[in-house]
Amino acid sequence: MNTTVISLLEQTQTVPTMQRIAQRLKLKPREFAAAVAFCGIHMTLYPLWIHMWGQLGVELPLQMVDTDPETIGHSDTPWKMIVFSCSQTKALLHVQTKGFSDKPDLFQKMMIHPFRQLIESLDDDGRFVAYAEALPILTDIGCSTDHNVPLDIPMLSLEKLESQFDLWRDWGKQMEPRLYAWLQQHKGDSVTPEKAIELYREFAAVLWQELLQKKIIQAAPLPTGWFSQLKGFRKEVFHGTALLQGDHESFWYRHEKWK
Amino acid sequence: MPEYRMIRRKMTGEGNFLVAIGQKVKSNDVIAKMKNLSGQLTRVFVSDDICSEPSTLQEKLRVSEGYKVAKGDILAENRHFFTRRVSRSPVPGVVALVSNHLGCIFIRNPLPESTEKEIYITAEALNMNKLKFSDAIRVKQGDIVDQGRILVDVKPPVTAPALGRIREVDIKNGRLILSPLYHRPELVAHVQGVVTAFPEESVCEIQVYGEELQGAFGYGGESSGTLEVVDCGIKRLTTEDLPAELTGKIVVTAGDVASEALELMMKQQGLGLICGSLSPTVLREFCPQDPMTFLGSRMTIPFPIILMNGWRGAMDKQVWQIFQKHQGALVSVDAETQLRANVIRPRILILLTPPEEGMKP
Repeated sequence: MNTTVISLLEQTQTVPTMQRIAQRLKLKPREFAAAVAFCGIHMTLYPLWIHMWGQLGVELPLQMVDTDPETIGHSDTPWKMIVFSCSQTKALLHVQTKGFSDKPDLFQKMMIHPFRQLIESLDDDGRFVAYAEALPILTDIGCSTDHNVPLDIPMLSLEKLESQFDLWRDWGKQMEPRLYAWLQQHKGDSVTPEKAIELYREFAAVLWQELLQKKIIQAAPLPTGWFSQLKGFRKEVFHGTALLQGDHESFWYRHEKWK
Repeated sequence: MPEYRMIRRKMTGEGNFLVAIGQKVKSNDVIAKMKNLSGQLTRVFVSDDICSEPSTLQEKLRVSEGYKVAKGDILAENRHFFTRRVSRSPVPGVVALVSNHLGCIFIRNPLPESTEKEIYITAEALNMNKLKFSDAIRVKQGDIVDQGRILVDVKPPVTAPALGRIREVDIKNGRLILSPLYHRPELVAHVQGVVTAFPEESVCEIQVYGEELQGAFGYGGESSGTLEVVDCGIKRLTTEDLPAELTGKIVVTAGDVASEALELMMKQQGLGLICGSLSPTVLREFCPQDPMTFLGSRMTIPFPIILMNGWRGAMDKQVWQIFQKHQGALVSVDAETQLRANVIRPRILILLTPPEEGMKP
């Protein structure tokens, strides 16, 4: 399947386009990594994917992720991403992909009340109220558990992202005919909604790997040794978790119907 | 002053009324039979489950108040950001309350209609020796246990089949007795009058003729009986002052009451006590729970007690004269008391024969 999605990546010229978007957005490297995951893959590519497959007669569900413990925990899924509310103005996004924070049970852990409270308590400087049950989760997402140390995750303003959203929309429009052509070649007779979603996940994972290799995004895997804990090494590295600041509910209502 | 009054009788669970509009009812008549009774409340943190703000809960709810749910039914669903999050009911029951402020739902688990017979758990029935049985007991006498709580820690554990109180732990004989705490699944009229309306599915209105008085505090539930005025002035009511026969009677005294008198009333199956006051010391001796905490129907005592003046002092003279005037009349008492929000005071209804024109429907 990887070779199939690599051909899509080449055919749609996604990597060079991302490079251009990176230059125009002028975000910090790890903020850009989060923006690619959220604005690019989650909010632009997936609706486009639904739309394109719909034109070919394969109806995909609008919900790609189901937090039901039975379905969320499949560790062999190449791309997993979730956005969940922590307060009216704070939502957290978390990405897991091959070789990059592969902890299936972390999704469920992150949604527990104390962790959401901790995120809710974050101020603009990244300082937070430490809730005992939430501290192990901070370690899991590669952050310090010391409440005197500001939380080291990228913080993206939804207002800012929305002002730049046209760039992602344009990318979606560019992708549309290329994706349609590619899907027609590969649709086959036995494509089910599940297979189509799996293909999307494969494509997202391969795109992510390519962006990493070409150093367009910086998103090192979670630190495993003492050396990687050093402050200098961790600087500007996206560990898979980012904070979205702003009214995410109204953001979602404005963007959910985009095709 | 005696006048026509509307009395509302409400079922606490799902059920059917056995009376019709225009029907005359007596105080001991069963007017409704309930299928089940209101059981324990389970709180479900729905907003947390679906990672949503309490303020936006209403639009994500799949159920509303009064909705019946089975275990595992979806209560709320959030579909933001292509992610489906659901909150499922952990218990079967009825949605009793939705709190948009706390972001949670309260589900009431109905108790099935049950006998009031005590449940015996014995070492013999479990094929255990008494020593092992006593070691494995995980409750003590007086404990109130939920349905499903482990009583005897063996394999498989013996759990409480119903909500109840541990009446006895008899280690010597290897025996545990559980008294179910079910209330009667029947609604008694407690008043005599004419059924005039059913304003809600669970409410019946009965028109009565009589005089209504209000007490300061009450303990216990509802009752009805014959008014027995014991005139011993404002001095403490003792066993000597009480009449020989108390069955079916509600005793009224202007002053306070000695604890021996309360014991005698219980033995003689008195149906209620209305007194000027009652000292907290006497109440503590008589009541199984702390009388400062458990007011009204939350206190489980053999008959309702209503204090007209509180902890000390005699009954108001005018009120006392009303009781004296209606010696021997049928009286309905409801000791329900709530002192915080939505204050409820105990109610005494002296039921009288209506004037000559008869009862107006």
